[in-house]
Amino acid sequence: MKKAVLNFSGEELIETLKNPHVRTQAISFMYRSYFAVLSNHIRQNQGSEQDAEDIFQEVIVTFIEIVRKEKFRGESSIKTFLFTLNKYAWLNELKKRNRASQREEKYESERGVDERDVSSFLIERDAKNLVNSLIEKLGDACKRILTAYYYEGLSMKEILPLVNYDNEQVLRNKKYKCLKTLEQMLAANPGLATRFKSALAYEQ
Amino acid sequence: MNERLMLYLDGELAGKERATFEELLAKDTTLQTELENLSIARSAIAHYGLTSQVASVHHMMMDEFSVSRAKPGGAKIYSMVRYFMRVAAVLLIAVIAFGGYEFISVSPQGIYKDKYITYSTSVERGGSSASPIEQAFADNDYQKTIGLYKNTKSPVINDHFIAAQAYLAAGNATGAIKAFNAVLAAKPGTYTNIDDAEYYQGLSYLANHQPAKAEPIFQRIYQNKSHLYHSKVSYWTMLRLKLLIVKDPGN
Repeated sequence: MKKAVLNFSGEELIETLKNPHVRTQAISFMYRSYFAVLSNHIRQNQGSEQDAEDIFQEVIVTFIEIVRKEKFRGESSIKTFLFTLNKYAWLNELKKRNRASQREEKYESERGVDERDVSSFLIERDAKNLVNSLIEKLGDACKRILTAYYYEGLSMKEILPLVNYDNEQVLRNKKYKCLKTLEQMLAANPGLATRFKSALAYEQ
Repeated sequence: MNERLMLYLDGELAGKERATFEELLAKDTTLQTELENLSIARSAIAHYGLTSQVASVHHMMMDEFSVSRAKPGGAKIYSMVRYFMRVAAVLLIAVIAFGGYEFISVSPQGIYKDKYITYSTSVERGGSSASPIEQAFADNDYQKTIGLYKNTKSPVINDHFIAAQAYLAAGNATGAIKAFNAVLAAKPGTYTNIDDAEYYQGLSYLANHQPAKAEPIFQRIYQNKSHLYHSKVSYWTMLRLKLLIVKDPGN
């Protein structure tokens, strides 16, 4: 069966991304519209196909979170904004690998104020990845319950058939234990928690 | 307390209950810290959920892109076909160039020099059991061998064979052919060096610029795996002979 392909205008896309649970079609639309040009930039600048894919995923996640924080002001087009995010995410990655060329470093020092603003959205990338690694340690049941409730916005009643628990109260207790475990992991690493909070604030 | 903290975090406390909890929260710094950490944990889950959803869409889109790259008009297949066509064209040009070079350069003398090995007998120099013809040939005196052969009134098969080798070694291909013909006319089983005679007769025809007569002899040797000289006649030898015949079959 052929999949329906939805097209979005710039405004429609921004409004769609502001929903608590993003529609898959909106993310697919961004892949179809921007992946080719953004991944081409990575491949032309010492990056592999895998690098291009990884950076694009990071750019999409960052962009959606920026939109939700109402930090995307629409002063440039979505494409230009994503391209700048992509460029600096890759530059950060190259720096991390100590491979940023002099040309790229010179370019970074000469970039305009607007671009510096965009690159500030990309701080604490490692903190985000570390926190995701902590969540991975919670186990499948916890991840399923917590993401269903806090990301997908499902009610306890809706989550119950998805997991093997007797009733809503047991599920509610399990959810609390799972979140508490994560909270304790973060409390044990206050530096990481602060950096993560700072990364998600998308302050400029 | 834990349950109320969670309900507050999830926005499920309302009215008087909420106000009471907020009063308590304002006074309890430990509770404030716990709420702050739980709030960060909740944000972490939201970030993780989004990252997972994007990763899931990513896999789906990469599959879609890879299918569309391989789709009609089959750009990927077409590029492979184009690659193999290029390779085939290069190979064809190489084969034509090599064939052309071989056609120009191949000659009866070339094959003859490539295949000729000086024949040697097992006769000991000065040995008493050898005939004079054999002895002269063993001494590499080809003219004496030929002279003795000519003066022999009733030469035996071995005399014809030794004389043929002497003619060939002395560069007299016509004499060699005639003497080898006498050897090969012998009844089957009456002479042991028939394989040698056959091979050297073929060489004699090449030395005499008669590749069309040499070719059927070498063809027999090529097809007969038990022939003494089978390993000396390869597919490549036969191909060069055929080229030679096309170029100049001789008489």
